[in-house]
Amino acid sequence: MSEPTRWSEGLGGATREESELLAAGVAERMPNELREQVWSAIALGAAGGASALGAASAAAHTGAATAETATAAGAATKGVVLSLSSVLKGALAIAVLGGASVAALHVRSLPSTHPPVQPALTHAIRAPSAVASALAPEAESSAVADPTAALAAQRALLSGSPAASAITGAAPLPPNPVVHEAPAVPASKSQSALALSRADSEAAQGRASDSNAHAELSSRLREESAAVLAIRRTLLAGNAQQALSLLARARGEFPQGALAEEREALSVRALMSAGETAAARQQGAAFLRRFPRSPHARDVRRLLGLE
Amino acid sequence: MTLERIYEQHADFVFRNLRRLGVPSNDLADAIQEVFLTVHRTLPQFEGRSSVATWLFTICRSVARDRRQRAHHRYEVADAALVAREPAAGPDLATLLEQREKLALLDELLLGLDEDQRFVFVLFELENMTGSEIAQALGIPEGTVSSRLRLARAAFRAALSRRRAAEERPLLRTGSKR
Repeated sequence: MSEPTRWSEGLGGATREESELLAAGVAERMPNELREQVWSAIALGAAGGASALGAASAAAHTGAATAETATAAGAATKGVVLSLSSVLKGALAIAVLGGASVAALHVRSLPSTHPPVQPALTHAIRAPSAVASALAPEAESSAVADPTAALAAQRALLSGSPAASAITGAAPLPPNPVVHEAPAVPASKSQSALALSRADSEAAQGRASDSNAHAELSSRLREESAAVLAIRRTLLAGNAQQALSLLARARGEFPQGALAEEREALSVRALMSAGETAAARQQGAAFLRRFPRSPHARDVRRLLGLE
Repeated sequence: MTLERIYEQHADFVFRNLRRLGVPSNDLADAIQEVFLTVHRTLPQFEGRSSVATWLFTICRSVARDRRQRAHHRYEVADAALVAREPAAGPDLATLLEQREKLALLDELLLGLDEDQRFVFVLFELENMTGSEIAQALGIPEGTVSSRLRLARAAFRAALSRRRAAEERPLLRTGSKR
């Protein structure tokens, strides 16, 4: 077949209006915010999907999950669906974690025998939907109250670490059977809201006195997340030198930041990309000493040719 | 080829095509996730015999079909209020609004096309795929791609004319009353 000419090109024959309509369609882009949020959910599913989300979903069905395990996965992904619902204030942080984690994830290196992730993820997203919407304000304040713990939980989820339950258990919420009963039944939505708000109100009492400090911490976390995200994007765009410059700035601004681990893993990658092999090796060795159990450790070792 | 690289390069493609395959806006984020998780699962088997876009479109089509059937969603054009799409417009608000209007009209016109014709039209005119890529993605001969494209263009043009005529009609009626 001889290739037809595109309608809007030269002799294609489209009118000006037709061409303009087509041009608008060609130029359409996914909103950046949605892009980041969806990626965070994909990363969650891809990096730990079979283990973390699958476990959360399966456990939600058997009632064996802690409320956090199910709702962390559900709320995180619900945050995607609801876009700016801020189900988790750390949504940006999750995006960064997801990105950093999967940035280093070479898909071919994963076992090809993954059980289907989609149903688990969909359940994790969908099942607690009524709960998540009822939970949103509480979940939000929980994340604000202890973003570091939330990050640790997300990190564990992302890495598929068995420590996930231990970490999520650090801020105990009683197992909540309503979590898996909630979907699409209006009556259970209010029950869920009641049950969850009772549990959360107890925790909220302990948080009231230092809410300002927590808000400030949360704000810093968002700033740090944005900084790490910018580094990752710059690196992906192939601009290693600029990524290194952003890394230096982020280190200055957030020397003890909650995302230091992700940032430093990116720095090894950036140095390698910039051709600074010796510095990358030095940085990688420092990373492995500082974060020997990091989910990024394996990728760093690979980058350095250590495995 | 990593999942993230594919996402970086093709997320817009998946977003646009899921919308045009009739995935409602409130289901779009989940559908995009589903597509890329399918990519994640099947990437080891992807041998590059087709282009990535062709492969992705096949997955999009399957995901969109499943979601429409599963959720019994009404086939509808994505609600611009729910999914704030981003036309590549400048910061100028007027330009932005104009672009949004164009996108809404484009959606409306595409929706009016026969589904088989719409796939070919969208992939060729909007996604810049070649005839052979489209033939592969849709599992049809290249000659069929050409004929569907011709029919789609004619239908698109006719729908736009009808739309413009309908816009002018109330004005004419008002004029005749006076």
